[in-house]
Parts: sequence; structure tokens; C-alpha cells
Amino acid sequence: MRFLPSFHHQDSVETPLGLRPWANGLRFSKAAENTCGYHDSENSSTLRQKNQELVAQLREAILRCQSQWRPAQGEPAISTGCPLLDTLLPHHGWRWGTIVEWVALGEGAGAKKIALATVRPAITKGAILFVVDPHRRFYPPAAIETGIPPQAIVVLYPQSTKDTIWTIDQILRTGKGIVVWADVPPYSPAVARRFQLAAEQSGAIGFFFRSYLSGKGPSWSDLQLIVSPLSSQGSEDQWQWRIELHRSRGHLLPDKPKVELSWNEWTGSWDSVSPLARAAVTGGRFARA
Amino acid sequence: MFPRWPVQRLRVEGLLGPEGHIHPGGPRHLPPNEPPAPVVVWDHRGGVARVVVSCPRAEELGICPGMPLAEALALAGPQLVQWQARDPHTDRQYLQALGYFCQQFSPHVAVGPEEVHAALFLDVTGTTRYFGSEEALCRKVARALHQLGLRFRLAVADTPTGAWAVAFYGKSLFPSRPGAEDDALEIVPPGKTTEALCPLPVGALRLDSPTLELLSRLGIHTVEQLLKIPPEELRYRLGPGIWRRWQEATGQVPEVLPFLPPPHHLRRTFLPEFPLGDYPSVLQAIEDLLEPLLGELEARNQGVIALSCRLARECPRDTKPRESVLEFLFSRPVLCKKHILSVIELRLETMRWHGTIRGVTLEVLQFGPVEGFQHCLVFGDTPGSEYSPRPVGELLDRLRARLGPQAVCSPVLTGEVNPDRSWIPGPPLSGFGPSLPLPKRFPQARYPHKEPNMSARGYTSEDSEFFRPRRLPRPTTLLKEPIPIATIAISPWGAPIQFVLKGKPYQLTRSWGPERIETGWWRGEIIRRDYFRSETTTGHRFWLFRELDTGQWFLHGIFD
Repeated sequence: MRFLPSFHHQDSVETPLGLRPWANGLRFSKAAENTCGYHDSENSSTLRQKNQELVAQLREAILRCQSQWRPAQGEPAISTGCPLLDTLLPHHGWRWGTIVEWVALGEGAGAKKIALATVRPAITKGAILFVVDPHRRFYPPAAIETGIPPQAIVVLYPQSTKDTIWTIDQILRTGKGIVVWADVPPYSPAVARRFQLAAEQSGAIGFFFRSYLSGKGPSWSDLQLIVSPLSSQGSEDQWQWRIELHRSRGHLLPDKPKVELSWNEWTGSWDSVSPLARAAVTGGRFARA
Repeated sequence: MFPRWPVQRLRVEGLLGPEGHIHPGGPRHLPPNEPPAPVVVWDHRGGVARVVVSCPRAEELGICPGMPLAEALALAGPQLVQWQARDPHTDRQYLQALGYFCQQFSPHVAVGPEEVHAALFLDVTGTTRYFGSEEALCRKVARALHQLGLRFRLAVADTPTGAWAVAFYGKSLFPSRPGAEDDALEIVPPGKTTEALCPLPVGALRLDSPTLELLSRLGIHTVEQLLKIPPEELRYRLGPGIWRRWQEATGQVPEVLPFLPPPHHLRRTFLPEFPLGDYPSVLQAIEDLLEPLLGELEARNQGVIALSCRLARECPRDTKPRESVLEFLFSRPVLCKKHILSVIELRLETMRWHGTIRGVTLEVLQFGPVEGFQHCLVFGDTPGSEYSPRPVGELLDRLRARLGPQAVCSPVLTGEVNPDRSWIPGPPLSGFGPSLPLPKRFPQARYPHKEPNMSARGYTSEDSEFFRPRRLPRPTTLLKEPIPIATIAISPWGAPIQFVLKGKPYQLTRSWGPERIETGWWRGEIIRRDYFRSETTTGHRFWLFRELDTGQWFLHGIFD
């Protein structure tokens, strides 16, 4: 019988090709199968089983790494002002040093409205909102209406993609008390990693807005929220959204948690669309929808 | 204020050096106060040489401003009149030299706007104690100016515009004569500037000619008449400048004056033996120049606020040497060489390099006391604020250097109903502090739980004694140019039920409106629109409007 590589003692084995099994990852098994001539069904099923075991082990390792990625820090997160949204977020609010990606389902979904409304508590504590607006489309009166003082808003107009990325990076590096609000252009993973490190080191928050199509790709953000609007039931001031926590760094989200929120633009009050969730809020406990 | 400055300037020519020093021989050996011949200064206006300014003696002969030069010469005889072409650049130079001369009375001297009647502004705050009183100070200034043979008028008030107005439109214009200093002097008591301004003509606010002409047509001649108009109306109908001028005149907002740099110039020049061809070597030269400048400032506990860097360029195609002037403004007095160099480097990186650099001059245009702050042991740097403003100031310096000063701003609401003009860019983070007042839309007391007191749909009467209109929601995204859209509507003047944008149809279930926005004829472009907030079947919201004149629908904003 020819040598069968053992995945449990992979450090000590050599394949007939002279490669270590881990060097080629999962593809090695298929290559080894072909090269070594395992064509009988029994051996193949054993190998498949081994592969499945390996995949399970790797998945477990990844999960372990992700959950241990960042130890809990003492500083509390800043509440979004919406209790229901706080329960959706892993740290019960916006945490300094994180990047949040807002993915809107189409134009006019209101993702920026929610972001403005939920960043207001941080601004009232002295934070500054830096709006990076390369296309000159941001309309400051909308932000001022939600209760953000105009003195706390800085609008920046970079002229090129290079300048936009440089500007975001510089602001993220500045320090705590900064919220970057940007319609980000498509950027490479290296740039994404730069943003991530900049935010982590300084403690700034980045709010990046992406379209649904661009947001489906790999993301380096700490949180990715998908915002889809709901019909407002006839009220002018009432906005209703479904917000899905699509990605949270350090947490596996097999069933993507989501909440349905209602926001009164005139009073600034938040509510839940679901009566059951509203009852849960009143009782002081939340169940993820 | 120096009336007929182009004529008076001829008297101090040759007496004053460029930095305000008096040449040997003066002022005791000055020429007599009145020149032997009448003086006329002329300029080309409408293709004809016309008299711009004339001295009092020339006026006695019948020569007046606006008269053709040929006519003036015919009146007095060419041999009897000293006539000279106007030279605004030299006028300005000598006024600046006079400003340096006046720095013996106050370290802060600014040259006023370039006009026929020139003016110098002296900030005498805190300096009067060295002279006894404001009046004693004025007498000393008057004596020095008389020795130069100048005619002038002095005024002291709480604000620069107030002093200018009183000097120009005071009780007696141009009365100064040697030995009669009191006639040329007017001191407004502290806190009485507003009262002093009210009876004066509207020209005392230093308004531009079209505004003055408009006010004259409206029958508004004095400042008092102008103030009877409500400020909002004043701003809308005559522009924001007029209200701002009034606020500056009364000290409600500070007036920015271009003060002359101190006589001891903080300037260094480097002339390389060989031309510099790339920016690292230029940066090295700047660093070498910066070090001694910062050393001088540090000894005085001062930091750089404004810095200018002049690069003498030599292009291969262009035989004439050119100069690039880079100006840097810092958010606070800075002494950190690393920060200043990083800001300069950011600007140099964005420059296009043509040719070589033959000389680098670095000059500190403005400096101020370095703010000492105590480091906090536990939290941020500044006590009382949760977040330290220092890195933010440095960040703004860097952003301005790289993106340009126009690309960094904070919004300032104008109150205009036209969405495109409802805000203007202002200086970033001006007035930013730890306890910012919240906008009135969400008063802190009731936010977020209490419902507003709605007295009618679209209106609220709270927080105001008036029945003020409610601010309607605005989109987060406003398109630079409204996009024309095709719509389907049930009624011709109603809201649409469908619109098509870029070939994609959007079914609308609800629309709120109309919010009619009409601007007056006095605001330039006339706008007559009915705005609707429309919601699609999927809950997406858009801001549409219909042109009332044409009936055409447009998409103007998106509630992103």
C-alpha cells in the first residue's frame, strides 16, 4: 500500500511530491489523490471524510481567531440614541476606532439619514464630523436638521480618488473624537487595511457608504450594515428601515440579525416597527429579531 | 485719514524710506507746507486724460476732479500747474511707509482700502497708558504728521469702521492746518460708536458703489434710516454684505485688518550657487531657512500663524524669471518645525515643476503668542474638553495645504429659501467648542421624547413669539444640477405617480407637498418651483420639483 498522508500529523510527513500537505491547503488532497493513484471508492470516501474534518477544523480555528481578535477594552461605546439599534450592534453603540460600512439598497434608501441621526450623540459630546465629499453632493442643511451643529461639521472636497483616499486616511489617523463620513471610491485591500489600522490606532470612527453591488465584495470594516427602506405607512415624518448586521468583526453571524426601526424625523424619536420588539424595549430586554 | 493722498504723497516722496524711516535732512528741512505751484494728478478715464485729484490751491483756480487735463492746464496755464500721472502702486508704497512710520505709536497698523482719500488704522488698545490718554496720543500723532507736512484727520472709536466713518464724515472735513490739531481730531467715547454712526450718511459704512446707488434710489441716506429696516429684509434685498458691515462697524463681529508686519522682518533668503531642480533640494533649503526664523520666534515665545514662501523660478522657455508665492495659514501659532515642514511639503508635492529654482525666500507674515496648555494626566490634552483640539488644528493645516483652502470648510446657513444658496462655505470649525448650541429644530429640553406643539400642519409656534414656518426635511444628497425627468401624473398640477430616471421607472405611492419655493426679483435668478417629497413602492425617497413656468419635472435631491 502506498503512503497515505495523515492530516493529524502533517508536520512530520512528506508527500511523494516532496510537499507538505499544509503547503497547498485543501487543494493538496485532490492533487495527492490524482498523483498517488487512489481511484478506488473506499479510499476516496476516506479522503473526502478527512477533508471534511480538515475543513471543520479550519473553520473552528478561524472562528477562534476572529473571536479572540480584539480583547474587550474598558471604554464604553457611544450609544446611537436608538435602543433597538444598540442591541443590534455588538458593543451596544458606536465604538471608537472602528469602521462601519453602510450598504444601501438603492438610491434614496435613507442610510445616510440613519447615520446622521445615530452619530448625533457623539457630536453633542464634542466630536467633529468630517464629510469627505469628492462629488460635491452632500447637503449640509440635512445634517443640521438632524441636530448636528454646523460648527461641528467640516466638509472636504478632494478632487481626485488619490486625494480622497489620502484625506480619509489623514482624518482617520487624527484621533478620538473624529467621525469620518465618506462616500468611498472603490479601493484596494491594501488601502482598506490602511484605513483599518489608522482607525484602530487613533480611535476615530469611519462611516463609509457603499452601494449594494460594491458592498457585496470582501470588506475590511468592523461592522457592515445593510439598510433597506420600508414603506412609511403614509406618515411624512416617519421613516422605516430594516437594518441587517451583515458583518461584525470578531463575531460569526450565521443568521444575520436584523431590526426594523421607525424614526420620526421631526421629533427625533426612535421606535420599533414590530409591536413585539416594542414590548421588549419597554421591558428593558431585547431579543434579536 | 489722508485726504487727496495722491497729491499729498508727492510731499513725502524722498522723505520717507520704504520702512518708515525718515531720510537724513528731514523733517526739519522739509519743503514748505504748500507747494509753490498747484498740483494736479491725472489719469486716463474713457480714453481722455482727466484730473483725478487736485490740491486746494488748484481748486481755487477752478480745477476740479473729472475735468479733462487739457482744460485744467488751459485754466491755470501749463507753466503754473504741476501735473503728474496717477501711480497707485507708488501711492500704496508710500502709504505703507507712513504706516511703518506710525508703528512708533502702536505696533498694529493697517493700511486702509486703496482710495483717493487714504487711511491708516492704528489699533491703540492698551497703548494709551504709555501716552497718558487717548487725546495725548492723538496730539502726539498729529504733531508727527504735521512735521511731515501732511494734512489729515484723526478719529478714535471702538471699531475701525467707526473711526473711519467719524474721521471721514465727522463734523468738519479736511480742517487740519498746522498748529490746529484740535480741529482735526475727534474722539468717540467708549460705547458710543453706534450713536456716533446713526446721523452719518450710509457711505460711512464703506459700502460699494452699486449698494450706495441703490440706497440712494430707495431714499435711504443716513445710517439711522437704514437701521429701521429689519435685518432679515436688509440681508435678502441688499445682500449680506451691508448687514455685515454694520455689525463690523458696531463691533458685533470682528473686522479683519491686514496689519503691517513688524519693522523687524522675519525674512530669510537663500540664493543657491547652482539652480535647484527638484523639490527635495528646495525642501532642504526651506528647512535651513526655517530654523533660524523659528529660533527668533521662540526667543519671543511667539509662533507662526502665516508664512510665505517665494520661489524665484527660471523656465527654459521663458527668459523672464518668474516668482511663485506660496502662502500658508496655520490654525494656531506654531513653533513645531516638523509640522510646518510637513505642511509645506504637502503643497510642494502638488506643484508642477517647470524649470529650476534660483532663489527661496521665507517670510513670517504673521505670528502670535504660543498658547501654553497644560497636559492632562488622565484624559485628553485640554482640560474641559473631552477631545483635544490640537491634532484637529494640525489636520486642518495639512488638509488646506494639500486640497487647497477652498476645499476645506464648515457650512454656514444663509436662511435663503433657494436650496442651492441655503448655505455657504465658512471657515472650518469657527466657534467650535465643547458645549455647542444645538440647532433650534431639536431643542435640548424636549429632544427626543416630547412631541412638538403643532398648531397647524407645517407650522409650529414654540420657541418663538412669532408664528414661524416649520423647516421641512431636506435630502442628504443635492444634485449639482437638477435632472429633468419624465413623469406620469393623474392631475396636471398634482404630484406624479411615476417617474423615469435613466430609463428606470420608479412607481410612487406617496408624495408630500407641494412646498412652494419662489425667490424675489432682487435675488438675481428667479426661481418658481413646487417641491415634493416622493416615496416609491419600496420606500425610497426622492426630492422632485416642478417648474411653475414650464411645468417640467426635475429630480433635485435624494434622501440617501
